[in-house]
Amino acid sequence: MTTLDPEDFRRQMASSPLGSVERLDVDRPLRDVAAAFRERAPACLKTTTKTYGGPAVRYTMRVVNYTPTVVATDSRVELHLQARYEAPIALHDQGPNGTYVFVAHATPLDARRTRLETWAIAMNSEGLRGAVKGWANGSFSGCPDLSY
Amino acid sequence: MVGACASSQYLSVGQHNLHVRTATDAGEPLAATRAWLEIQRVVPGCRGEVEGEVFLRGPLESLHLPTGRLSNLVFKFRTSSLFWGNSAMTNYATLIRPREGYVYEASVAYASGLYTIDILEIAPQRASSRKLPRQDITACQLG
Repeated sequence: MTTLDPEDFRRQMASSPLGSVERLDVDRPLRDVAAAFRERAPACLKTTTKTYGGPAVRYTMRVVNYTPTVVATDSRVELHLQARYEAPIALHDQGPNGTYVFVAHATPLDARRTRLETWAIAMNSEGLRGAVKGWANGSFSGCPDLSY
Repeated sequence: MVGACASSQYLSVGQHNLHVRTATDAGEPLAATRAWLEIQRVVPGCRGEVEGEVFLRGPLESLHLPTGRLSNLVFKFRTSSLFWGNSAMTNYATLIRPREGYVYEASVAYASGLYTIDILEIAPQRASSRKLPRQDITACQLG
């Protein structure tokens, strides 16, 4: 599944049984959520993971480069995460930063509260979704292990 | 294990000024998470040259970091699962420029796919302390 546009990705996740869509209201103003995304996203999500698996005689290694992007306007903050598969095969149509694997939108409900919506591939995204929700509501300042 | 032992042991020469407290829990049966720390010297061009590694067997490891110059600390986690027959690695890096007479305490916690790394800078005689913000090597300022 290759997706080169975050809106395409959102639509795919909303309509696919493989997708996961969540909504959460947090008691923090949008500017605080934006600050957390700006600080945490490059610290935690700009990373490379390596996964080794299979029987010892045919060991395979999967390498994935992740690139986060935070896009902020007066009325919304978006967090995008792209994954580029480098090994064992590099897909030819991934784009320079790879395909979208996660999108979050934060929009203000009022001066003190923010609505967070996330779109993700359901499998293996629990940690990422949990971390982003924690950044948004201020309960977590660590990182998700994207190799997990 | 593949990919985990490419570097050599870090030669910690000098008074220990970095203390690392580590706790890991893979969060599932038949799995284990191991942590280690790669110390890199930062060279012109904001690149890291590996000086060595320290396995964080926990609960506490201590080492010496050179003062007055930048080091890039790369914390690495590898979770191996017997059930799934695989092993996965990720890492988290931050710059540090240790100051003479100061002590640094790092707290490394990994549980069920989430991890937290905090580094405190503690002044002589514990007069004050502050949590160091993460700094990326690509934005380094040598000198």
